[in-house]
Amino acid sequence: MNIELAGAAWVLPLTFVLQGLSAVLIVIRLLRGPRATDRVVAVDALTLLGIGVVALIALATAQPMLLDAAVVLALVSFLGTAAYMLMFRRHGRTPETAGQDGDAPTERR
Amino acid sequence: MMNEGGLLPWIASALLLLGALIGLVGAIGVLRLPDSYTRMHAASKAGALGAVLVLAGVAAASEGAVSLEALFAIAVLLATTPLAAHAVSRAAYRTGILPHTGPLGDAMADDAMRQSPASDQNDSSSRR
Repeated sequence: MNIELAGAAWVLPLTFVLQGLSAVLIVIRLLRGPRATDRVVAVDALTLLGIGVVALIALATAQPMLLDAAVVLALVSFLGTAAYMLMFRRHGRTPETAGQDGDAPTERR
Repeated sequence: MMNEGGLLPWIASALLLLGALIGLVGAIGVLRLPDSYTRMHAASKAGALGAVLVLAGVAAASEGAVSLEALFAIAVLLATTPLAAHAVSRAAYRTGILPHTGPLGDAMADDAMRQSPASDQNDSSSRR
């Protein structure tokens, strides 16, 4: 893999730093998020960020195999978010039983 | 095509930096916006655009050697991220978070009332 990047000495480290800063901000929201949906949104954003980071590592180490990992991560990210949505749908359809568990939708964290 | 001193390395660097900056803007939105719907908006739109731009930058930096994988990843992202955002916002509505609606009102509550006006008038958040 032949890499041609203008200003590669500072563009790649700066891009890694920006992605790491984004990850720190999203992890703060993931830990703080008052509701479960906020955490799901944070996990979704983290996987989107991870796709970019995997692609950047593929560029930095000149290994095109890692881009296949980025493709798989993109597919799995959607599946994970859909699975979280199914978890919410089960509780949302039967608020009476959810309330009996002490797990009412309005008290969900 | 353009080998030495061409335009493609500059395009690659610009795409990588722009993608990282848009991802940072999306992360700031996820941290600072007020409720789940707006956070979903920031995460899905800005985050997906950042990832797509970074992938396009990687494809440009390798002079098209990995452009097939990168294009496939971009297509998967553009196809699945709106679906995931839609699913997350529906789930947020079902857990009872009321959206701040504009002058058009709460369309999902109107739908629930129209489908079953007798049973669910006062509990619109648990219906589709």
